[in-house]
Amino acid sequence: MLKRIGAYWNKPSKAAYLFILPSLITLFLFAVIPLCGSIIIGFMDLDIYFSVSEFAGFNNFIKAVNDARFWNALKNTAVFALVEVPIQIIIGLLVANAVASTSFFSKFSRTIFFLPVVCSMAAVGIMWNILLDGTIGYVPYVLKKFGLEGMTFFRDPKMAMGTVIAMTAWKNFGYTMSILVVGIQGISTSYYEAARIDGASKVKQFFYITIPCLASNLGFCLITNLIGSLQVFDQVYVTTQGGPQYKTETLVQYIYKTAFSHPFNLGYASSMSVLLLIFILLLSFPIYKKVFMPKES
Amino acid sequence: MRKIKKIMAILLSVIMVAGALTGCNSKAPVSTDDNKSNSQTKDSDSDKGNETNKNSTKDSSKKEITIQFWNAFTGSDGDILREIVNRFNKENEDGIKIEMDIMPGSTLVEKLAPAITTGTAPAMILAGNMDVVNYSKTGSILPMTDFFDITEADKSDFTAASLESLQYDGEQMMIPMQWFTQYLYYNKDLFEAAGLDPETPPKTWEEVKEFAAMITNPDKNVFGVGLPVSGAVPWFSSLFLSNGGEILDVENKKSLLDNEANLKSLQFIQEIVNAGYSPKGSTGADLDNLMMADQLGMVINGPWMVNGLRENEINFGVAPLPAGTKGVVGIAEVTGFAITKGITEEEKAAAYKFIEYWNTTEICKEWSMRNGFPPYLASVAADPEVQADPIVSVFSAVKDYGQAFGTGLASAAVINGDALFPMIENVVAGNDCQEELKKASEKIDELLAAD
Repeated sequence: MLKRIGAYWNKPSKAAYLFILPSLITLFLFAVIPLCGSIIIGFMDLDIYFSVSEFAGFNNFIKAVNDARFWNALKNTAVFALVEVPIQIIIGLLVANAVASTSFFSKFSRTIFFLPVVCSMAAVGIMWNILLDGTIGYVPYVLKKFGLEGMTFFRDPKMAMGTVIAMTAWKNFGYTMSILVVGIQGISTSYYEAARIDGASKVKQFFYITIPCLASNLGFCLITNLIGSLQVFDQVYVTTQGGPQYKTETLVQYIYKTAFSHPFNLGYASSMSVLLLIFILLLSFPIYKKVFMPKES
Repeated sequence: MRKIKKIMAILLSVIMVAGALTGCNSKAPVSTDDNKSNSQTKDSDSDKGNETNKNSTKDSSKKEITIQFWNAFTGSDGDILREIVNRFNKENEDGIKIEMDIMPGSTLVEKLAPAITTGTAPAMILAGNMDVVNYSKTGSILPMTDFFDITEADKSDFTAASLESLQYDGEQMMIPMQWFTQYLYYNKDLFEAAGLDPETPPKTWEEVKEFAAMITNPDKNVFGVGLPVSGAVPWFSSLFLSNGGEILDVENKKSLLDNEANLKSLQFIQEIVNAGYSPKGSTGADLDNLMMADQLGMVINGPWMVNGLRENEINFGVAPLPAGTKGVVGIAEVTGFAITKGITEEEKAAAYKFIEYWNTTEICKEWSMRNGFPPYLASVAADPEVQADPIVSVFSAVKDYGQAFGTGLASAAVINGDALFPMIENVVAGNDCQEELKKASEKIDELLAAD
């Protein structure tokens, strides 16, 4: 009996399922169940103490549509994603192109650029918070020496979002770079040789060979970075807590505050999570389709 | 070579599995030695076993019990609290062990709510008087009215106001741990450098502004006064009230914020910031750092600041709050011990033992003398050594000008966090004072309507 079971699952087509089973279980427990849970709770009037729990229909969703703070958070999230993602990809691409060779210097540079990626966002946030502090920070001190006074970065309503974006791009571009380096190394050198013989400059080679060959890598980076950016939370939580004047409050930050501090409203927070999910799907699906779905001839 | 690889692979697997198991080990919030707690983990079982052996010489008939205790004493006063808790753990003969977890106030609020719902809350917490109604209404904390019947603590020794501010619906929901109001800290060296008398702190808010102008020195990055926009005591409420500006009508649950006196107070704040006497948009923690770095002339804070200033060897003075046009008012706050929902009788008894220990003349006196907190026990206040302490005597002004805020309201703490502090932040950033006052007043009305 055992032998037969063993033989059945030992076939390559069946064994593959066994290998992905642990991931599937984890995904089911920590993604599918919570996702279904949030959708259900989104339609309920429920607080964190479970002292109120009744069906609320679409009330929470209507409340979100009429909530100015929700729209402000959504706008901040969109600004963050639309500015941070291109910056990160452009810097990642330029750096990847510069350090894609196998020389010692390139390898060393890649390690340096990748270092911030392995640091936790909390540590990075605290570090930049101290460096950019308007009163005790080193950066404002140096800027002051050059005549630029009163730069308070995270505390300035006009600069806070830009500072959070710059910090995130600094921390994450190494990740994009590493994916693109692998892509660049996979491009056949014969293309470049042919281009050189035809007299194409380095710049032309970059635009007409490197970028088109990296389309799927760039598409992957675009989608993963976009989804990550729309869920931006930790850097805001550590540095500005959504302030000053809600200028950096993102949707996930607002959802978190609604659920885990006053008013501890799980129903409303979940309904906003569902709306966020819909936004992410609406934005990422067309990109996914364009990049990964084979075109029908 | 292959063998080494194999050994390495096995070793790595063992480390990974051990790591995963360690990650899964959630420390049980409460544990008793009779293994009743089903969330008991193996680790704490073995710890407890060791404890049992250690304490068996004390009293073999007593059961060992460990309770969790959460609070937000992240400052240097937390070190003294930890010392007292450790001493209690060592000295008590009832086999009680208190495991204390200190975290920032906002983290405590965020962690406590889900912990209560999931039955993993600590047995005992420290919370403020502004949280009493909210925690009581949601059933997060349990009444402690029987505390004075069960323990030997003397109810008549407690200042009536300290007990009353921790009551809800006729029940004593918390037992006092400390009480305080706000005080003016000032840097004597910076006073001297500005040509001011270091022994004469400002007596009025107008003087605060005058002195701040003299102390501020942009070349040395020195600011005259710190006016925090978040993560601080509600200093602005004290300013409003001392200038005759009301904030709340608790009885009718209405905001009184939008009035002429408060508008003037807000304009006063904006003038100080616009003149550069106060750093813009700083949090309480930012200003603490400046104060510890000899770069801030004056700041308003609670008694806990004393220790940090002493440790950093700052030449500081402390004075009662400055007066407004209608005298001196400071928001008084009481911190209390609370026991949480789902606690067993054994855990409650253990928590009561510690709270009783805390409220002895000896411990409360130590807390006052080492931290500067004003005494709320009559026996401590009458102590000649306490009376002679210059800092404690200033802090004892709580009984002269301390005024409770939002007593009986569930939204008292939220009004501070979601309406008043954002208003100050916006005013400091340069927004129109009247507009901000109106916006905050509407927000307060909205919060009170849901109270």
